[in-house]
Amino acid sequence: MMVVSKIKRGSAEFAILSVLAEERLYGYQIAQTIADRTAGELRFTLASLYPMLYALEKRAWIAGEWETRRGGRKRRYYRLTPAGRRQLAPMRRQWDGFFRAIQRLSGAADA
Amino acid sequence: MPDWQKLVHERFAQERSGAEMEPEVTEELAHYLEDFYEAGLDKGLAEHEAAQRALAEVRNWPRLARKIKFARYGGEMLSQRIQTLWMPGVAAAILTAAVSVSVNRAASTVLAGPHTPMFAYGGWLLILAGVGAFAAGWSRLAGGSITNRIGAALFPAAMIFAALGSLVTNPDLKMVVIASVFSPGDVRIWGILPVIANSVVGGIVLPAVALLAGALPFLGGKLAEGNLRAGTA
Repeated sequence: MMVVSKIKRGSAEFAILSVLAEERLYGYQIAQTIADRTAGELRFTLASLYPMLYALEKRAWIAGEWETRRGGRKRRYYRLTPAGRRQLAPMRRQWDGFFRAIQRLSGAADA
Repeated sequence: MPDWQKLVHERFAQERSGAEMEPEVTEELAHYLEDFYEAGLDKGLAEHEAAQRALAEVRNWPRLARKIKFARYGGEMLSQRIQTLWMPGVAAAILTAAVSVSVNRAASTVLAGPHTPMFAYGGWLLILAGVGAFAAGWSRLAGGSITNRIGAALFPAAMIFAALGSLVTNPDLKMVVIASVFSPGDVRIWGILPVIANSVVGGIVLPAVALLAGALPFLGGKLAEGNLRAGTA
């Protein structure tokens, strides 16, 4: 149970940092981008997204900034900070290693 | 189109802690719901259905409020709890221990007499009311919520409860209980039940009532501004 919760939290943080590594996005865009790129496998709701965004912002891994778009619409855009970028690289390695290990286990079970 | 900002504000206002969510957060969440709603309309949903789907993004608003507050002010909230619950509570427990020892000593030496135990106990309860007032007053001064003020005031009673609870792990008492189970004819357990009941009422319930009575005048009044923001409950 604890492991599942940690995996979920870890993967959610990784997903957010990964999409923000490429471009600045606001909350709804972050949720949509992650859902699109994972073919709906990872889906954030408002309730799961914002506590995580604020926690990452407090750790200074991401930074939010209000911006007025065309048509006078205000949105809070998030970007990855240098500290967040430094976190992302080892996270990628850890997740790659984790999935390789799971695939090996899965392969061994099928064999 | 629904007024999403008003709606988010209203949902957060339902939270029992009475803490207000920052307008910046309310606005940001409202924009998310607005985007979600409009995406629903673009997909061909009716207004009513799109609004329902947007609202389904949050099933438990008070829980979301707590998670957001913890994410934004986690450290401050913990520090606030230490200042408004643990510090006054522990101080009250130490004070209670000191008062209990002093009253016990005075009763057995200076004030020794036939009715001394009763008067000493009554005096002890009165002092405990003062201790409860002290703890709740300290918590209120530090900006504690009503729950924290009550918790701080009842802290000494909880300590007494823990101390009495440790008696149950006392090997002698355990032996009496075990012996009563294996020798039903020998009902020694009944002999100590009134003692236990007496200890619970006299040692926990009445002191808790006295502590709470002392705390009562300090349970009114609003939270300080800074604590409203951090939303400690």
